[in-house]
Amino acid sequence: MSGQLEVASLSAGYGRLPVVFDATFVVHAGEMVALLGRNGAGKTTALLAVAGLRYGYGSRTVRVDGIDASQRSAHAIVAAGVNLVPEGRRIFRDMTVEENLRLGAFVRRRAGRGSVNADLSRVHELFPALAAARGKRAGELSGGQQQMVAIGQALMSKPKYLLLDEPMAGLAPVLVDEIYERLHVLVGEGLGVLIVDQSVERAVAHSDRYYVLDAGRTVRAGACKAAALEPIEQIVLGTSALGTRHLEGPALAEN
Amino acid sequence: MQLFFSALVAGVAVGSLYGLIGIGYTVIFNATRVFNLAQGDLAMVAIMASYFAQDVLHWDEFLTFITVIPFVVLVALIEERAVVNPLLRRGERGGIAWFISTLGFSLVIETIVSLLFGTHAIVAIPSPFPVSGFNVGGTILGYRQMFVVGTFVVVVVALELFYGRTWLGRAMRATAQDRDASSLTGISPSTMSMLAFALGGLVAAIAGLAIAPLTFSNPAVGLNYTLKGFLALAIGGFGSIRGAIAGALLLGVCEQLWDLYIGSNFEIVAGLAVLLAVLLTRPEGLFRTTVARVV
Amino acid sequence: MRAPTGSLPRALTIERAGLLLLLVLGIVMPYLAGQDIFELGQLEYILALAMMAAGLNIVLGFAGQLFLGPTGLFGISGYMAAYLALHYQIAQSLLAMCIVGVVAALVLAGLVALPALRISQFYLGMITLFLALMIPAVFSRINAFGASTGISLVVSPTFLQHPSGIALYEVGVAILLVIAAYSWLIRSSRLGRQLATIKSDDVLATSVGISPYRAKLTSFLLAAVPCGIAGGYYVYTQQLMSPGSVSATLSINVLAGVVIGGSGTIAGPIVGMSLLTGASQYLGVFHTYQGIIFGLLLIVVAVAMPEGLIGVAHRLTDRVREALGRRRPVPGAPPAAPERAPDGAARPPRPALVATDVRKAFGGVQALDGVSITLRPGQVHAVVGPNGSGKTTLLNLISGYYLLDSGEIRIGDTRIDHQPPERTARAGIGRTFQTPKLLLNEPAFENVLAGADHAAGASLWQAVCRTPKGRAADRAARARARWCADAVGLRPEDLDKHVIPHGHQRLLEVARALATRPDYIFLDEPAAGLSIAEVAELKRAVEVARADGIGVLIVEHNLPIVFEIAEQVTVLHQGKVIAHGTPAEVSADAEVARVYLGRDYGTRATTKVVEPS
Repeated sequence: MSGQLEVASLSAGYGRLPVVFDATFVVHAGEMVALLGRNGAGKTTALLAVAGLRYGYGSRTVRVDGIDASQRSAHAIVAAGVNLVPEGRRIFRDMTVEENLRLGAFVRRRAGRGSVNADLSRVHELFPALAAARGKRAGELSGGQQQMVAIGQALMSKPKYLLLDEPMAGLAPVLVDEIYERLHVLVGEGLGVLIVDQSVERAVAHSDRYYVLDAGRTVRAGACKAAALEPIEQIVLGTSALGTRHLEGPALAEN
Repeated sequence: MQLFFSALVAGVAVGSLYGLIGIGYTVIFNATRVFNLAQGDLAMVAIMASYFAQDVLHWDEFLTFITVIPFVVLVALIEERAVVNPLLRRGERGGIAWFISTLGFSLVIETIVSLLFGTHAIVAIPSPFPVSGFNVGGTILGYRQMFVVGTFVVVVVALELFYGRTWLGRAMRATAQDRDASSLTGISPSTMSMLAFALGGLVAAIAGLAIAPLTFSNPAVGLNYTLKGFLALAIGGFGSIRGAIAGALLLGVCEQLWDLYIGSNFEIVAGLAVLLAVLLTRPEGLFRTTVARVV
Repeated sequence: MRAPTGSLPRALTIERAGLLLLLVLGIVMPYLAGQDIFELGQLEYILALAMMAAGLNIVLGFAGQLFLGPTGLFGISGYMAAYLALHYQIAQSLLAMCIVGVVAALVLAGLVALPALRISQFYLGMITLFLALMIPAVFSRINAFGASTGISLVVSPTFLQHPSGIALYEVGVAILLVIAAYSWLIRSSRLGRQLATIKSDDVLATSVGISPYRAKLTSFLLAAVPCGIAGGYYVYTQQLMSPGSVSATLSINVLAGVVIGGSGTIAGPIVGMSLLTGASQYLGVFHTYQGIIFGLLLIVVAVAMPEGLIGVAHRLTDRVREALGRRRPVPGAPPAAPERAPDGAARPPRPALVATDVRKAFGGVQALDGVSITLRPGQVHAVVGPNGSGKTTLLNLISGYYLLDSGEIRIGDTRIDHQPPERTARAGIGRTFQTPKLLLNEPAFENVLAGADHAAGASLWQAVCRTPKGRAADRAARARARWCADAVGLRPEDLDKHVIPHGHQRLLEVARALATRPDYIFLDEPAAGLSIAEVAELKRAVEVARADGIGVLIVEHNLPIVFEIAEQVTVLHQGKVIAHGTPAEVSADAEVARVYLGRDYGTRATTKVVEPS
């Protein structure tokens, strides 16, 4: 099986805090998939676990284009072609925009200056604001610009699959549209995108397929085209019968 | 007045030595958030090894140079693997554990060296430079002193270039700022911490080789250099090379001036006095790095 | 022995056994090792070091502060005692030397602590290490103190060791036991719990009204006492004080003794120090390779065995107990919960908490942009909003953990912004945290007790010295803690555990906040990760608080819960208030729907800011 990122039976947590019990999803190359669910459902933990951080407390099966990447740690997952843009705009605030972007290409540092420069130009094309601000310290940028740096940084590694954890949080609607537009361009070129967006309607409007995560499990999935929003919203807001059944997971033993 | 300038020159030279130790800490601390309490002992190992090579095996300076440095780097890497990495992997941030384990390591090194060489002082190894110096407006700048300062400058410049211009250097800065975010960028934190210790060992080795011809040494000086290096950083601010330089030079000069005007009996108090002065006025040191959020 | 009023670290039996063993050994040793002056001198040296270790343990093990220079305190005590003894006959008794030692140590500890404790842990470690290096260096240069040869009391014509011989040694054992009791009194009292909160997390400490700085300073001063006695005893028994007596290496050795024995326990440091020093004195091989052995042990303990030898002993006895089918006796099991809240006397009506036009930016991001909110006593007020809207920032700001850029926060007429968080806590605000902050290695009940301590009626010293008033206050705190734990649905078997499941962690935090007798409680996403049953307990707890007249502020994502229990809801978006009112009003608000669900996404409606009524 090629051309897809496959995650199965993902369980993860923090220390004694189990958060994800059984998450499963698939992202194909060239498609945008929405990961929905209310806060506390485990979306962030699931993505962090896929990306190789904090999976030590559970187990996971991750396959990238058919190759098993389940045992890899974070930096090796990036090398395998999966890149996570975590929530909270975690860029390197003391470094300039240019340095941040270049650092994104760390896994490709042997590819040569020319290749890296070409990617840099591409990112500048996608996000012109970054070209203008290249010498500025990343910590001094506005929230929206910082988000662009974060996404640009991830793109510099030429990922096959891009995971985005609430990239729209705190951004003005105009910016949100812009970012979605750019992502569509990239998806058109073959990138597989998994995006977490708290706004159900918006995410479904832009994506090809969706999954709903609730209380650490994948509870619903489907195509976005004909999707009925009501049932999804009810799960996300926790009001449906399905949603309020907070399934108790096994307590993890003391390490 | 003459004496003042001589003390100033001596202070800069001594400060350069402290600075070399201090930079070793900074390099390691920046990438791992661990303050290597065995740093001074690494320099001490370099001193002892160079003594052994030159005075016992009668090797020439070049051979000594190219064997002592990799040897000390190796010791630093052993420290990283055995003593620091297990803690970093467990996610120990701050607190007692790494402090105690690096302290333990320094004790082990010091004892091994004592057993091999005895605890009495060894004579300084012959220096390639003559004792004399050249005269600038009445003050003598010793060749040896200038060599030490020159070495310091070279190391600083080399590190600045490394951090600013190379992939690995930038990666190390990123790891220092945010370990998780940097691993999401494809940087292996484990490799970074090994690299940091290797660099720290390299700088400690250079420091030791610079100190060896200047003065008597014995295995106990390790802790002394450790503390002096810490003082330099406490004054100048942790986390930045500029801070290490400023603090080290200030410390060295203050010590020499104290020695000149107050007498050499309590120069050890000089360092503490400067430190307290800085702590009471600017607790993060003269060059502070980013301020952290609490909750 | 009477049942202690304080609660103790686990398996006191191990520690009692260890101490008993040491006591027996202590009394018996001279008959084993020899009774001549030299042998006794060696044993007395071990005793002095063990006393120092017990002192270090108070600040390192109980309070978790990286104090690495016990020999600094020991050295100044010894030098002062020796100097005065040499010149004044009145200062030549053991008692006098110990008193001088304690005073000298207290002065130095105070001087060092004042600046040093305002900075981070690791600075403290280095500065105290520096202190250890400095003391011998300084004293070796002062002629009045004998320069490099030190002060020898043998030369004094009037000095006479009395008691001497075995009696002197046994007196030392007795002193060591008294010091052990001193440690125990501290550890098992309210003061010990305060130190334990500091050890776990400064933020946790401030949230229950403890000033971290004062607690750390106290731990320093408390540690100075055994170190001072050690110095006095040392000089009296060895009749000598020189720079060689207080090398920096000795400091590291004492640290090793404490850590390897078991830092934070009562018996551990004494056992560890005695064993290591004894081995060094009596085993030649050990002595030669002492540095390597100590060093390797330090590394092993730091990396693999943080609880030291005592911890290993606990684990072994646990396994034996399991094999025998018996459970470890857990101390401090609280009695049955009282029917109604103790000290539930009528309290004066509480004033409202009003935050006006609060602004806060982090770097280039404006987290709060002119937010105003009013909390009323006895009212449940929820703050909701999407990620990044500023909810948690607001909560942290009002409880005092962030400094606002502009605006004000008042309770009644008193302003509560621009003050340290522990003062805000003492002004009557209790809170929980997004990620629960609990005490390390303590049973669950201790956490709630830490909160109840805050409202204790007696002073700290009364608590430590176990005066009737102190004991009464302790009982009252326990009763209150028990009641609060019960109110949130925690059962006695839950309270005894050391490994606490996540749901209980959150409920524990709520109980702890309740126990501080607050006027307002802030709950930061309390429902995250809770099961249905636990959510029900949470709702019950909120109702209990509300009925008691406490104002509850909840920051939550889980809207159904919020809409069930809240009377007022404030909705934040991008740092501004976009809606405010009853749950019914807010859920019908179009703007809220748009923001949360992206409804009417196609039509680009402009953001309207609704002023709070």
